[in-house]
Amino acid sequence: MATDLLQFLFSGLTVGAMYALAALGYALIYNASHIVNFAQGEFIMVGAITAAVLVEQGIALPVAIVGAVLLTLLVGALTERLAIRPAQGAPLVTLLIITMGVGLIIKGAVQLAFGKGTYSLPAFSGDTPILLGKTALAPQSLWVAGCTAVVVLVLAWYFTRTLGGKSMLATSYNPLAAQLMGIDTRRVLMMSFALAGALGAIGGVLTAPITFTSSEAGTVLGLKGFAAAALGGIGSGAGALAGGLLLGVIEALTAGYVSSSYKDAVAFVLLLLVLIFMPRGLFGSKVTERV
Amino acid sequence: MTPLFRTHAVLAVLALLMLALPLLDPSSYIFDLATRVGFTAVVVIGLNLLFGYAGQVSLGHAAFFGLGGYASAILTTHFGWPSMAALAIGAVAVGALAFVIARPILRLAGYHLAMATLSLAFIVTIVCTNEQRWTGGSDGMPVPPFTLFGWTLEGDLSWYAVASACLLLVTWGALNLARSPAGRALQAIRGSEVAARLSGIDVARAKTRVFVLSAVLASVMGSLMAHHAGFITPAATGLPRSVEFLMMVVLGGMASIYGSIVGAALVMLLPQVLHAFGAWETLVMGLILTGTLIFMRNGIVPTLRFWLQMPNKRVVSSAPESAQPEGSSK
Amino acid sequence: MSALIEVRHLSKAFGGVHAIEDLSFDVGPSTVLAIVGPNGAGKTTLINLLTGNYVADAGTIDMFGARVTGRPPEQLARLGLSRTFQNLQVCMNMSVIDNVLIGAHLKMNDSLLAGILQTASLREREAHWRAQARQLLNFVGLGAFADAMAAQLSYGSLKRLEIARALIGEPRLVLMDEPAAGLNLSEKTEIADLIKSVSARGVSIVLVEHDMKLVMGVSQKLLVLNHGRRLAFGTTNEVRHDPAVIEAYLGAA
Repeated sequence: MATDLLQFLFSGLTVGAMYALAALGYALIYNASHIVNFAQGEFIMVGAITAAVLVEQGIALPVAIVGAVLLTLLVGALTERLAIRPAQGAPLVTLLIITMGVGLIIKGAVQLAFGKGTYSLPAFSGDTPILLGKTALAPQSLWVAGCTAVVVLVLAWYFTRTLGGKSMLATSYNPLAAQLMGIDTRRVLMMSFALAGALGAIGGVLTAPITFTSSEAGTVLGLKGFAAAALGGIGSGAGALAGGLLLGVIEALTAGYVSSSYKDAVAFVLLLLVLIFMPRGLFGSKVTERV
Repeated sequence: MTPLFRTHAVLAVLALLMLALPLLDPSSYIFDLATRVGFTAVVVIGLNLLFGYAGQVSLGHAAFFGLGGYASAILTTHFGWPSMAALAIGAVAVGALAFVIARPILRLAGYHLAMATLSLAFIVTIVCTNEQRWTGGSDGMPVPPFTLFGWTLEGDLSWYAVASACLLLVTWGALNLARSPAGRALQAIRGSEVAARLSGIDVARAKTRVFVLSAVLASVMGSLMAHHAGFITPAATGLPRSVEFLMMVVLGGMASIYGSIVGAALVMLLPQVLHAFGAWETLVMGLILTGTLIFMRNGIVPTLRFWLQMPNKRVVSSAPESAQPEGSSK
Repeated sequence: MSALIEVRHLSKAFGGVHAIEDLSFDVGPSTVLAIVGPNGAGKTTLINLLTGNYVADAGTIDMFGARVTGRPPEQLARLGLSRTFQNLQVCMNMSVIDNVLIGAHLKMNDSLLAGILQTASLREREAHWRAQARQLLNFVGLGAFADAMAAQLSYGSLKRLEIARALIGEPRLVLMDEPAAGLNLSEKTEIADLIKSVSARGVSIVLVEHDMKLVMGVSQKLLVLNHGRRLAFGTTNEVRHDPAVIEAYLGAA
């Protein structure tokens, strides 16, 4: 029994880490602009597919990964520059649908370039499961956990110790004041998108060996990451992490103990309950309206 | 030209356009498409009342649409109910569901409301996918033809007539509603809930009413479209369908009834046109959607209206008060 | 002549901050009462308490003869209260005249069905109130902009729009939260004249304002707040010569 539980926990945490990375991507952009980036799932997909295609072309895995992350970073930056900035001042919901359009553009471009087939990446350090007692742990899961932890630490350092990170935070608290302090808020937004792209790509690359990827994969991933971000309270980085891991674990536990088909439902019932009873999510900040 | 006259004039033009189509002897396929556009436009009008006017973002509207369809499908197939009764009961049930969840959910705003409605859509989709015995699971289930006291609704022209009639009726009703105190109250809720409350508007009640109304409209259309297609799948209830409805509202124009018709028509007709592009279809669709919204940020109909109104209404100035036009209209 | 508003021992705290403490005062009919005090004295909190946006921790508010402590804004509007806002709460998505018509919402039939069917009585009332709205817009000087979108108006015009909206419902009392904030000198004079005309119509006004010159020009009574407590309350002349007030504002002579 305990081995089962551990098994579910491990797989849950692995998937959860990917959700968490996606959720962090949403949090970044939302914080800088209150935009929910519906193309985030496509960022994840582009990272995974680019790496897979590069590996297929014979390029070494580490190089392929770096290439994929850089490319997606560029895609993120271009999204802001070409689709968001021209629409500055548009109602938020219009910007939302614009990001949806961008998602379609990215998906369409990938379909044109690489077709609609499924791709996969080889596991980073082989497939032989590591045995912990009676629980089997795929080595890739360790990569996922480890890299996610590194990413989170790097982000924490970035936001608290570097000027770039601090300007991003400042912009999220009060864009006007940030501008008055000389922060180029448009550049900050572009960097948020670029960073969200990179985060998505890292997540995609890490989990592509476990779950296959295809041009359609972005939608579902985007959704789950969205749900994870909402669970944790979309403005918060800690929330994104917690929400993602929680979502992954709950899904795994439900799939294991209750029923595989209803595992997705549990996540959303939970989300609904959280929203009704704790509208700011687990970690989101309180917002009061001054009249 | 009084607003009332203008409303009736445009409705008359719309009716004429609808009458014109059959005269062009279109193919069965075109009829089918036009019928679906008509029904969809009604759903979008309902969503526009909720979202464009009252500002309540709903990412779960397809849940109501799909539930109406499944109610019709299940009640007629498994229980042998007459089509009209199934449609009516479906609408009542969906209305009741909307009523019950309205209060807790509509207290939320913006992003959180979006997520709550999205969860709803997901839960409904999952239930419809998993309850195979009743719903046929992810493959869906067939829906028998629509019958009324022995007479079967079949044939392209008949269905087209029904869709056109529905659209005309709902457009007329929605235009009236938008002009009325109830409609203004909805817009005030979007503009400033605080001011609305202090003007005596019972905001919670108003939100609930429009939520239920839009849900019932979606349900009835869902039932009709299920009968028309002869088939229903869980895709009718899910997030992609909900997002598509929302996209139609935004593209056509928030708080614009005519915009909803334009949005529905555009989003449904565009893929047909883009088929010709083959593998480029998705990409071009994305480009058109993104590009249109960048240049017409308030949606097509409001933006066109704004462009056509200049210079009369755009620049407002006279002594002693010189009002500065605040860029584009909201 | 009974008071329109009676506030007794009102208190409201936010965490450790006592925004309003043990406050008591009256507002009589056909009066302009100005609430003054430095920033943070509790003026906006008091307005929000009076309009039902906040719920008091202790004390009572009686309005138009009814005990209204804790009642929500919709109910207070029904009793005859209206308000303008410091940080403009104008519906930018609507036209100027529609904004004003919102103020008359309680006078109209807001049933969905009647709206959809555009019944005769609904249309009649709509025409009547639309005419009233245009008249009011003329009164506040915005007649030419009735059909423009609210988003097109200047800041000063929007303040006047709020006043028109506050008046159309024939309120018994209007709360004005810093009506002159952000206005230049000539605009302030116009607002002051507007307030005086409104008062001349017999409507009671409770005014929160910083501009003392404007306040002295339009008010009959003053309530001076300091740190959430009542420092002075009386006619403008009485308060002006109140030693406590003089000391708080100017320092002891």
